[in-house]
Amino acid sequence: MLRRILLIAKRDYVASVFRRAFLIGLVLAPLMFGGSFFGLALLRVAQGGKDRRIALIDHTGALANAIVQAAEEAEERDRDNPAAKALGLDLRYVVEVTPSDERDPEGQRLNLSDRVRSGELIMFADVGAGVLHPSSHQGPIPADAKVTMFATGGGVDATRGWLEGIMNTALRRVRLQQFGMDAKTADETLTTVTVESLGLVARDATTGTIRQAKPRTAIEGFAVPLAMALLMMMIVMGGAAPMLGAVAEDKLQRVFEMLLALATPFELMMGKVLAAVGRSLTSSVFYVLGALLGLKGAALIGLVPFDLLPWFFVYMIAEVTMLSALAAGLGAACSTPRDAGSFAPFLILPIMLPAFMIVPLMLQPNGALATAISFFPPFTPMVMLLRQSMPGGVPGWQPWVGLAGVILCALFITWVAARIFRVGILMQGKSPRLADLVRWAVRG
Amino acid sequence: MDAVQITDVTKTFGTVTAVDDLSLIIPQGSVYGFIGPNGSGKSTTMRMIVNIFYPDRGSIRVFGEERRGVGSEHHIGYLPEERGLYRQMNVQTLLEFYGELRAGRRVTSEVKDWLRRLDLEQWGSKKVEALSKGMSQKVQFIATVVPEPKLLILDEPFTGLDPVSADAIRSAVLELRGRGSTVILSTHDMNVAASLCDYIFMIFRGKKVLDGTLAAIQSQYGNDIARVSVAGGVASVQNLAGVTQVRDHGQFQDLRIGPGCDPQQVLHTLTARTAVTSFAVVQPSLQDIFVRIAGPAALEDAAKESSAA
Repeated sequence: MLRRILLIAKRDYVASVFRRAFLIGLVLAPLMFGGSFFGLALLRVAQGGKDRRIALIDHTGALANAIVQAAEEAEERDRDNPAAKALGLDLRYVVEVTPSDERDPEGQRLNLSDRVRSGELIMFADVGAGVLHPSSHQGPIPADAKVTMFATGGGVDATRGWLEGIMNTALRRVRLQQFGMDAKTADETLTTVTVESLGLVARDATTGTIRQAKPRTAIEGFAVPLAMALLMMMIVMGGAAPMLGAVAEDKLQRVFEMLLALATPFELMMGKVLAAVGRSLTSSVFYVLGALLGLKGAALIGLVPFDLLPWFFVYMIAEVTMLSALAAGLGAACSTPRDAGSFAPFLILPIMLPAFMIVPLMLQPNGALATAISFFPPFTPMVMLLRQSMPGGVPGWQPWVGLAGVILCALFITWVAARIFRVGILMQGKSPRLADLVRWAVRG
Repeated sequence: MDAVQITDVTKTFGTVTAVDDLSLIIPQGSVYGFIGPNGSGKSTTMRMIVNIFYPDRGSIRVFGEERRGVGSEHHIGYLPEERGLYRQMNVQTLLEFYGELRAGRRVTSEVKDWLRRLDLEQWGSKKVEALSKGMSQKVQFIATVVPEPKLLILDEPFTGLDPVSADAIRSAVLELRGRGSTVILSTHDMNVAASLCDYIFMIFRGKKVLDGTLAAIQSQYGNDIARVSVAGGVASVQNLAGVTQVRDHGQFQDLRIGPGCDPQQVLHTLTARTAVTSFAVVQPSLQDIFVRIAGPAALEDAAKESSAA
């Protein structure tokens, strides 16, 4: 039996991996799944080292120096962050403070807009004359007590946040000086403190000693868990989802009946599942090695959670087994290519639903919702891994219980899928309904 | 030991009884022909022998071993009626895959040998999708017989083949039989069944209606056919007293003589009507017997009987 399973797995693996479509998918999948993240990173890498010029029309006549000083301080803070540098986040802003042209303010704005359009500036801002002391007025805040930003991009822009930061620092500094505080005291008053993020202190299970908490940057606390979860989703999707269409196509081309004289339906299905696992392992090794080499090259190898890599592979194998068995069963039930389309949500939802919830899960990785979801077997690989890779991790027993659930669920789904596969594989003509699938699963 | 022993087997799909209380014994080393109209239960019976379907009732033994729920055996080669191959694989690799799956060992030399025998040697390195329909069928046949099976089950193996390819397959089947393989084949071509098979089994609406050698089957139906060749052809043999049915073959006609009627009387009437070139009393052909059982007249009679009941 094992020999036949391995032989079928080998054929399916070779037939799918040594194809142009697989190799192209290997390159395109990361772009599809992490496209926006990659795009942003690439954009920033492309902009890294370049000056991003900003023009400010200062109607107060008193903010110019303070704004330039605040901008330099902000740049200083980011300069020594290697992670920010590697990801192209060390953007350098150059502030050009322009006195207001009171005779022709619209002409001045048009002129600056043209400079933005030509790419010379990334944006310009109009600092109203009343921004220094807005609360000294009676009633609602007057129209000139605000800063207006003019740019080509949409409302969501990192530059806006940066500008708000330095504007407020500059305003406070000038106000304090106007209230009579000397420059040195004002600087000290405005000095900010950085909150360092650490993981939790833990006791080493083998030695009994207390392990110090490790520092966690925003990249470790956000980018690493997100990357792990997205990688899991991408590999599971790439490994299991094509099975549905492939089995349906082979069935419609009448390939299976000859094979059924040589191998049992269970052997046939398990061979296909094994090939899907092999395909996923191939992709994951490719991506993990690529990521390790890339991070090593960027001197960021320390970001890699090596202790989670075994979990990643074990979860991935269990999830691909579960979903590719389900896909094989559903594919075998298809009587037309359209059936494959209508069954696809059964396969895609267990992969996509956790992805839709990723932000709330990351905000409260040990909250009740995240904890409960991480024990639902189809979601466990992605959600538990996400929680494990967040700062603070999860209690030690949870991954093991989650894994046990995934393995049991994988075995059960494989058993059910094998029964559906056995009945469905030679069924032609009528498209099966959900009730038919349930009946096949129950009666075998 | 018999190659296949089917005992009281019934198989239903929903409300349709595909095979109804069937018993059949297929001796080792024979060529057993399955005939019957479309949907009569031939393929279902074959699938049960191969263990793709399980019978609802009864038992099937292959070489003495009960077949239900056990793994597939390497000594059975099965060519289904609806057959497909992995179109992207090359022919040699595909055949080695099928052979290795059955035999559990490399079968490279056997595959090459069969490709040579069926004149496909130069196609071994080509993809399956490049083959013509006839060539694909020959490749499917090779996939069924590598390595040599003890029991070969072929569901309509000659459909769609040109005469040369059909001859090649026919020779291969006889050669395998000569080397000890048992062959079960289904066909709609009564000439193939009559000329190739040692035994013929006819299934109609799930029930066995014929089983035995061609001679034994023909003897059941007696010598009630007069094969005549006359001037004027079929028009000259219409409305003859004592003749219940006329089958026109173009160059000659088969007249079915009714019960109690003397063929000499028919000849006498015929010679009075036209010039008779030849007149011979023969046994009914397999085709005649098939039509008597499953033809429109038989169906009409069956319908009348059931409405009367």
